[in-house]
Amino acid sequence: MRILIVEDDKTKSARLQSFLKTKYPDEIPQFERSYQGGLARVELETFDLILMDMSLPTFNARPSVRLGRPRAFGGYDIMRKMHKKGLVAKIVIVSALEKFGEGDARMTFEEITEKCEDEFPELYAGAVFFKQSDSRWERRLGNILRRTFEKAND
Amino acid sequence: MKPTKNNSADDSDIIRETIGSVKDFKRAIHSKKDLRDGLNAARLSVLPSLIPEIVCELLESPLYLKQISRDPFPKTYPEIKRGRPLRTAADAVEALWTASVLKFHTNELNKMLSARQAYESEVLLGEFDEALNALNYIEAQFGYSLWLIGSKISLLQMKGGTLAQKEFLQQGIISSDVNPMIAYLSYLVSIACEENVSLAELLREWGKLERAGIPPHALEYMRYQINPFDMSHVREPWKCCSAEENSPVLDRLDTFLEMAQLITVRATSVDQLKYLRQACDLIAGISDRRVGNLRHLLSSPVTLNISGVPAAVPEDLLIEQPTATAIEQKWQEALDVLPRINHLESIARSRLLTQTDPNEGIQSIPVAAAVNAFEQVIALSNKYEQSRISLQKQALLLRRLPLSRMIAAFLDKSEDRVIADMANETEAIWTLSSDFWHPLELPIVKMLTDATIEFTGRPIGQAASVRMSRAALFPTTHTFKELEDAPASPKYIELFQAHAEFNQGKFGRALKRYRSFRNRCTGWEATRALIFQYRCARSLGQFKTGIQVFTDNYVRGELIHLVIPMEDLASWVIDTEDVDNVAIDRTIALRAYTTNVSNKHESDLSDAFEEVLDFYEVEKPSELFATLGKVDALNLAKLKFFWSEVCTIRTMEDCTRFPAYNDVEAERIAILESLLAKFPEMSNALGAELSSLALEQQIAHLTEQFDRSRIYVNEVGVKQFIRVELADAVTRYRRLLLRPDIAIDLNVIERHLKKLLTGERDTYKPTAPASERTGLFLGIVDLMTDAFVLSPEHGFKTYLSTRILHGALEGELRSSFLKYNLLFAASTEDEFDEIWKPKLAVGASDFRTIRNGVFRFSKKINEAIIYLKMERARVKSSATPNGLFDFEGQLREPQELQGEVDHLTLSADVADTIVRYLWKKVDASLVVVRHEIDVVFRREVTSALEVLRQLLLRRSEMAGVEAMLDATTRAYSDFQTSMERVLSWFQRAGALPIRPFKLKVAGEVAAKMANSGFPTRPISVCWEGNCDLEFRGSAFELLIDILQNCFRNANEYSGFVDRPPDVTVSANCDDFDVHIEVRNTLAKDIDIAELRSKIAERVQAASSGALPEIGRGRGVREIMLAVSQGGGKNTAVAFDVSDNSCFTVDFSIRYSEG
Repeated sequence: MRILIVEDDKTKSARLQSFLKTKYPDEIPQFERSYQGGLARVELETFDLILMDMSLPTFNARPSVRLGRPRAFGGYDIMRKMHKKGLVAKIVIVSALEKFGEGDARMTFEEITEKCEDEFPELYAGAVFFKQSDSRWERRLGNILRRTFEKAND
Repeated sequence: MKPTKNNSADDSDIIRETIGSVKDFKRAIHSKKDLRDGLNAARLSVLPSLIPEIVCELLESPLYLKQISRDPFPKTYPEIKRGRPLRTAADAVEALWTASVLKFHTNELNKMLSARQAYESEVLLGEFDEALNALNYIEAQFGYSLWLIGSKISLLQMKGGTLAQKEFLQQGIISSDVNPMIAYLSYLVSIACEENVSLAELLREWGKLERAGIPPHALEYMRYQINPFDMSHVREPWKCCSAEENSPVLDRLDTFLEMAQLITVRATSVDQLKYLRQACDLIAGISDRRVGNLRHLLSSPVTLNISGVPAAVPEDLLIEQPTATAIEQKWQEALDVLPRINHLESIARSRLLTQTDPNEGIQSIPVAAAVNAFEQVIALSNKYEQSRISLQKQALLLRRLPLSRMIAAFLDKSEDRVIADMANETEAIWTLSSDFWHPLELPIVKMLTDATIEFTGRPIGQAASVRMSRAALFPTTHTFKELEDAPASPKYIELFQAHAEFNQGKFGRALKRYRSFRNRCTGWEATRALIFQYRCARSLGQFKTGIQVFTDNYVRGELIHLVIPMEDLASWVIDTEDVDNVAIDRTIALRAYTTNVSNKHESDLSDAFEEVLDFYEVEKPSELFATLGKVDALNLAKLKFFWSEVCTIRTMEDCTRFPAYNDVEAERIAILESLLAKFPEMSNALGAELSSLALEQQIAHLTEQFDRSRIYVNEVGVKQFIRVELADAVTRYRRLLLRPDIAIDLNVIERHLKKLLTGERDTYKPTAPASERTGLFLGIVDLMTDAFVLSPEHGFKTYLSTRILHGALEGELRSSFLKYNLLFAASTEDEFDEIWKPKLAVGASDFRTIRNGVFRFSKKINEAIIYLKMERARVKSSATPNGLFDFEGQLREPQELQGEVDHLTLSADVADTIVRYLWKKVDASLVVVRHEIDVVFRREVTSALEVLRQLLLRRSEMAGVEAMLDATTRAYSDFQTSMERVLSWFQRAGALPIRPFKLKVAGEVAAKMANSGFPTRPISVCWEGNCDLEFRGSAFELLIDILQNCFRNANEYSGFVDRPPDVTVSANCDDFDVHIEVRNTLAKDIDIAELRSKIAERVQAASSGALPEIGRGRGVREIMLAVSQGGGKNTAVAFDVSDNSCFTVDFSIRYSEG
């Protein structure tokens, strides 16, 4: 299974990686840290599973390098482009934020994940609310992966 | 009789209809101790059809009259809306009950309505004294009402200004014992009438009320009463009507009729509204056109008697070539029939047909001001937006006049109503207050009714415009003949024929006619006519035609986005794929939408942008410049629009063709440069953007350069500093190499010396005896190390301190937590409460616990940063024994160096060798420092944050603390970026030579760096004098050091809390030096005398070297130090605090032209 993690938070990335190691010990996930990085990667390579953060910078964070605009819905933007270009993968949204965006565009975690599910049913596999301090997200992510890939294997 | 619940009603405890007679109703009233309570209960259980009979009978009895129609004509303010209204009953009950009460007061109402019309005429004509008399008459005859209060406030505003109306409000209403709702509504009316209060401001007021927890139905009622544009926000019309149950009868009538209108235009079928028709029939005797219109529209079939239509109306001007005289005559006629105002829009349109520019007219007469503003809007003039706003304001001011509703409808209306199949609510409501036969209203009547309209009466003798309008809307086999014979100009005959064809579904033929009509038009009429062509293309499904109707004209600068329905256009563009030949048109349409409507289709714009590149098979949009010369004028205009408006950084950074932001920026700059080179006429529009981007690019580049050179030693300066001493020592060493016999073994003495001096290395270093070779070499290394590390002007420690430790490190590491309001200084509980109280939905106890937790978190973060800054990221010494920059080499290392020096080696080469060795030591230390930051410090922060998050989750439900939880997540994400940045400072990346730069650019770089420590109040520098002066590249770091310190000091010590100080930099030069002055404002509470004294002390201390390396005054020391290194002839720095609270740093640096 080819796995991509699109996440700009290193600590969260590491937690996701550890979790995946327990589930798929033989797989080595790839990492991207931005909207651009994530999108460019899925345009070039095929992944079975993508764990994707929702809020992302446009470009990879590097010292003294401008990141472009911050994207409250960067994960959604990637899914949108994938949908438009017919790119395929199973995507699980993993976010630690309850609310995204500002003003009229403000959405809750539930709202944005529902939107992803409605608009990109072929990509959306589920959503997990990530908490550093507990392991409920691991159980939920495990369930999603089991449901998604066992069904796919049936 | 016991009421039972019925789910069909609107309140939770509503009740089945069990009362079937007047007798039962009376019994129900008397079943409660209080008659009002009884009435409440009885109303909730009554069969609606019985209500007219019940109310009629009850009103005959004085006992019930007082309960059912309380204070219909109150004589004092406190009597208005006295007591609570009855509870809201089912829709039919509310409608029939209100209508039955109104019917009872028909005679008085008709007299009031007649008097009101007289008042309205006077106001519209600007006869304010007469209008006031009319109002006073109504007050004397019929008492007070909300309508009367609102009208009086509005009239006093127009007549005597804000002061007059406020005086009335204060003395007449607020001071009396008036119903709170009336008092508050009067206050809102007063605000809405004030000169400088716009609709936008009023909308913000609603936001506040919503947050204050006002129940939605009460808020709906208040919004309806104040804002004529809020009708569509009334979700439960009968609740508004119910809220008037205790109101004066005139208010009850107005609200009843407007809610009935709203319900009628929202109904999908009149069959749903039989109860409303019955209610309107009850009040058929009330002389209000709205009653008649409702009754007509609620009939099936709808019958319109057209025999009363006049033989000539102002709308006739719109189908002929009107003359100024004819228009003036119609204008006078329109004024004669005031307060009827149906003709005002037609007057405005016909005026425009005879003159090039809209009329400025007389603004003091409301009706003239409205017509003038209509003209500006219709003509799409350069005062379009301003006129819309002034119309909005007029509608707010005249909320109690029908003109207010007309304006709301006018601002919402679409040009193509004659061929549209759906009306919006606001214009439909206005139509229900107008003459149905009116040419501008008849199309809405057609849209509103689901039944056939039957015209009765004699069509002969009707105005031509009325006949043509009816013919186009209801085409028959005779229509074309009828239109051809109409007394209208050929141009308009063609237009109406096109309408008729469209309404018959002959869209292709209609399109041809609309094109032909437009070709005969000019100006605004031609632009507005495009909507008809668009509608035809839409109906035909001809995407290319439709989109090009828009884009062909939009790129020519026509305001077609004000005419074409942009939502519809955007949907059409998005839903239509595989249309490569109009790829650029699609981007233009979506860009226009994004610019003029909202940014919700930005993603679609980026898709369309990529499709253009795919279609033209280019990688970047700048490659399309190769196609110039192969396109016609129209397509060239589209390409220019595409480059200038579509290929923006924001759009281009959505696609993956550019791997980094710099590439996107470079492409944008390339496009702008090409556009300006090929089309110099675009320089006004694009020149500023190009300059700004170039500046930003330079700032980013220089910031990166500076960041790469934070770990720095001025090697030339260091070597110069010890040149003589080093040369002597090297000479002695070389002599020893040539004559080893003169060496004396003093190892034993040296060991004794070292034992004696253990721990004293900073103050005295044992130099090896001159006569011993190794000892002498170690002495050379020590000499070089001291200079390399400790030289106050050129050494490692100085740069480490200036470029990292002083402000930058602390600022960067704190910035993410400051930005999300998670860091607080001790004893700033009030500040915390102000920020977080509105955001945390927790009890007082939990709030206190959270506050304590955040303060503990702040303390931990501050301690971790201070420890890192003060102890770890330091040169190891007796003062900072935990410092990680360790220059105390292993004994073996210098001896290895010794092998690289022979009797021919020059002292400069010896210096280079040792410097290389010292840089290796720096590199080794940097690895340790980075580990300290990346692992130890990060762990401290992560742990503190996790403790805070745990506390949040433990103490409360997540819903109440999610704002702070999200803040911790966002802050941590930003913190990691800050960490990346800080870690990058602790490495030697190898800075490139800096090209000549402008003072302003260096200043912006310094401001950017200084601001990183103050994310919530960044300074913005104002530039004066010769700030575009170009400097040599080598001066860059010097200027950054000085200006960064100035800006940071300004932000930190100027005393402002909620905002940054105003900072100004001015520069002037003479033949040798550039004189620079950095000024910043000081908060009022800064003690000028005390500050002067402190500055003087610090300058004195810094000059004498007594100022410590840390703490206050450090900035002063570093500014002085930097100036001394690169200063001009006069290397003095002057610090001044002026009497008018201004702090100034004045210095000069040598100028060497770049």
